[in-house]
Amino acid sequence: MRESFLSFYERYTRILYYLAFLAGLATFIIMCLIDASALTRKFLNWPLPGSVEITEALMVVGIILPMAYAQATRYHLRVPLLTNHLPLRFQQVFHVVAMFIGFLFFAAMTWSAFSFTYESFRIDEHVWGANVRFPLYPVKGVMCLGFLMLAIQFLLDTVKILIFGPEEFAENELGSLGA
Amino acid sequence: MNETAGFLGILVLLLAILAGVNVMVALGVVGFLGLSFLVGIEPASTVLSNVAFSIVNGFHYSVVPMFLLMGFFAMQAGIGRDLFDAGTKWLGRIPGGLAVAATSAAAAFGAASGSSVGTATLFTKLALPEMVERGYDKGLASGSIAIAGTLAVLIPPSALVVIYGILTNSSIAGLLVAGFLPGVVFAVLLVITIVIQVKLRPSLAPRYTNPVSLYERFRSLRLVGPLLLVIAAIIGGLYTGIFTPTEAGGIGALVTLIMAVVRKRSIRGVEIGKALIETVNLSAMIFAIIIGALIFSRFLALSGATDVLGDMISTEGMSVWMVVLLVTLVYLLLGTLMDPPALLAVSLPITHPVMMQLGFDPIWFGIYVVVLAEIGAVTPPVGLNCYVVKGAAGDLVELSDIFRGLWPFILASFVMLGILLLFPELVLFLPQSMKG
Amino acid sequence: ETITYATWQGEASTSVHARTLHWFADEVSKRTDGKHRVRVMWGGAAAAIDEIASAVESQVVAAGDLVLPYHPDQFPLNNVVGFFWPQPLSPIEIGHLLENLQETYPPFADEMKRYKMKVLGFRPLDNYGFLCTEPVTEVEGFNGKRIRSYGVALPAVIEAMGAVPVSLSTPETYEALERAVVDCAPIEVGLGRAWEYDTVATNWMDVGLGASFGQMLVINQNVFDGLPADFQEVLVEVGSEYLKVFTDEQAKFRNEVLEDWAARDDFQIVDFPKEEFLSVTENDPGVQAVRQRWIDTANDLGVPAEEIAAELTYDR
Ligand code: NA
Ligand code: NA
Repeated sequence: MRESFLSFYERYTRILYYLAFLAGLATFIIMCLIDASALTRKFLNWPLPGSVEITEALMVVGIILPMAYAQATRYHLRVPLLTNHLPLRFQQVFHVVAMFIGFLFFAAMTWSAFSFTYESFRIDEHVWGANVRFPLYPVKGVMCLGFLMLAIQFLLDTVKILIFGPEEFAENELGSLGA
Repeated sequence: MNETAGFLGILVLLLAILAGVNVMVALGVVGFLGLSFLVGIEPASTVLSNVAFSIVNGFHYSVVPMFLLMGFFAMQAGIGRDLFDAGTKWLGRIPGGLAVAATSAAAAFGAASGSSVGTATLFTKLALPEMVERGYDKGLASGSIAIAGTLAVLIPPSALVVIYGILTNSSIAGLLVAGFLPGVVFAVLLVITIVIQVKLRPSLAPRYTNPVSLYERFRSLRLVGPLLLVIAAIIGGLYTGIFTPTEAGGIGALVTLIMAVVRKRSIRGVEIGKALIETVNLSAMIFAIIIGALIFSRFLALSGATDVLGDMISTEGMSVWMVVLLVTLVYLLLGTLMDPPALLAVSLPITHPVMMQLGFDPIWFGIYVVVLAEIGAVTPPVGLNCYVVKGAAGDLVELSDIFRGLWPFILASFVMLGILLLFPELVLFLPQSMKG
Repeated sequence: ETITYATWQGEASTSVHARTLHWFADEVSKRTDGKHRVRVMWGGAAAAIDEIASAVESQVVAAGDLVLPYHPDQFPLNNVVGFFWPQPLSPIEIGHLLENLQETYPPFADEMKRYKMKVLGFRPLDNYGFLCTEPVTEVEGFNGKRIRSYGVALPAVIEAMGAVPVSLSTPETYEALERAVVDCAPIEVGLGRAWEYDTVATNWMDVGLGASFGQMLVINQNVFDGLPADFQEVLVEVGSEYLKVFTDEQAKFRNEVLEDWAARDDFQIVDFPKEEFLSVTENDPGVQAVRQRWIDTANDLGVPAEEIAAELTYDR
């Protein structure tokens, strides 16, 4: 039981890693687009068509899609100062509740993003760029997917901590942040 | 009634965060519940995705991932190591020379990287072992590195400054250049702090006696070359109209990537994949907090709590300086508990409207708040930079060493705050002269 | 009774938009003897510029500034003016045109109803021209110039001029002009001042693009229906006066700024040959195609599109 949960947890993390990798790819393409467009604009007097609009779409991929992997690798800040001196038992309770709240919140975000995407699909919403036009609902759909994966990750973390107890405080949780 | 909900929301938010709910979740949940109370659950749920999409789908916020990427590539390009080598050759012989060299090199490295934590990690690995080996006091050695990391956040490029811009809707280009002079002044202050300490207690840092020939010194200058190239590419590109400030992050990332490739003599030697995964993890974390904060701030604005705060201050006849003092204290207090992005996200919806109402310049307040947030990054119990230095140093130093060594530098930070208050021109000079 | 009103405009802004919105809120209080109040949520505090439509529809706020060009697929009919540039109507005429379309053709009103919006007032954009870093005295002079672009009509117009459309966000445009990343930005006189473009691009060319349509002051229909009758009455009354008040202020401010520009040594107001510009752009197949796009859409939606299009076309 414990083993099969862990193996599922790890397999899920693997999927999230691939999504994060896609996000990384999107980020790299953003870099290329910005550079290429600036250079062609200056030297060929021909800004890369659609580079702004495509960058905006890729931003959604680059930022929302890796949110679940960031949780799996404990990048999302957590500061349990009130509870981390309590007995382990209580710490576990608080930690489980915190993860479950995370699940509920991102379930709400997913639902909200789903309605948002569906409405966009229904009215056939497009990006109206200077020289590109493409449908917007897939972009909004990526946001919905990103939130859904994160909601599931929080649910898995709820179960994990319920079974295995509170984790060692990960250094990432204090944010191995670049900001 | 609604205002009460707003104030209650602030309280619940702090409790939830300290009870271990992820900062972004706490912000979002309290914001969502508050909005549901004010306008109903259905309308509130539309706010969630509207806010998220409107931020994430914006071209000019692409600077955040680009700056992060640039920092990671700059590290792989070995720019930090080169700067420290050159710094040691030139500054190694003055009192506390290695610490001074590390601080100066960190400030210079800040021109290629916007990461406080990244810079602290890098210089811990570069400089700390040598300082400890030469008999430097562990507190001085590690404390000076922990605080030097914060210079990267003031000196452009800086993701944290962009986060302030996003959260408050202020001019990002103006904010970025505004940090330069305060960053340089702060670096000088930190160096002075090191020198004074060592003058007072020479045992803190044994003098470096190896003579460095003039030839060697000048030869070491070429090590500064890569950094100068990065700076020249960005400033040159901006002034010749090749790209906009928003695009500068993308250019910076490309230039540092090319340098990393040159340094490692092949594109395969550069761990591009790793840099990208780190970048998206951090972007995800930062934007999750921003989204949560914006949901929370919508709630706070609609509740009217910020208006009440503003009115209270103006009717109570509080002097402007009292308010500044109060705001500063709140940041110092919250800063002990929270890390810079989270601190900005939690506080700005409340403090920014009040300060604007009092007539403060949004750019000045941005730099002031960033310095405050960075003080928070080195103060216990949650002093992010200290944990990072400890993590990178391994068994070389203890956390208590770092916190002990930091106090003189925290005093120096207070002096910095005073300078910002007395000479706001230091912040506003560059953005204003940029406007011509 | 108090209703919330969302705008992205900053409270302290000296723009015509901010001043007249203050007027709107004050006037409502005054005419109801302080019984009712419009609480303006300034600076995007309640909803960012592109979120206001959804915020009003779902009653996060009661009312707000609806910026139509942000929602081309939600309001294809009411976005009509955005497809017609250059066009001959003055700002107030554009406001009246939209008012009439709403009253005459149900599909125009239906679009608003679909998003549960009731229109209170209209806020058109002033005559557009170009602020450029160099003076341009004839259409030929725009050849190869990089011009900031957005929306549906502008890219085609800019290409017809022989220039290069560059997509840029509004906050970036100032910096792009300053660094000569672009040579020109399309703008109205008042906004050119409010956004300080006139400090970095010191040549004004009124080429004859004409005015355009920007924003509506809208209120959620359900909210409106639930308001006391006297509040409803005053909102409608002040709302219908808004167009006149706004365009008067707009014209006054435009003239002030133009006078100031004329007095400045470092600033040049170019007397641009409008006829030439119009013949080059109006007959351009690209520009025509954009117009036809709206006409096709509108025909499908059952309104006499050609008739409406004729009003927005120079009669020559
Ligand atoms: Na920096
Ligand atoms: Na702290």
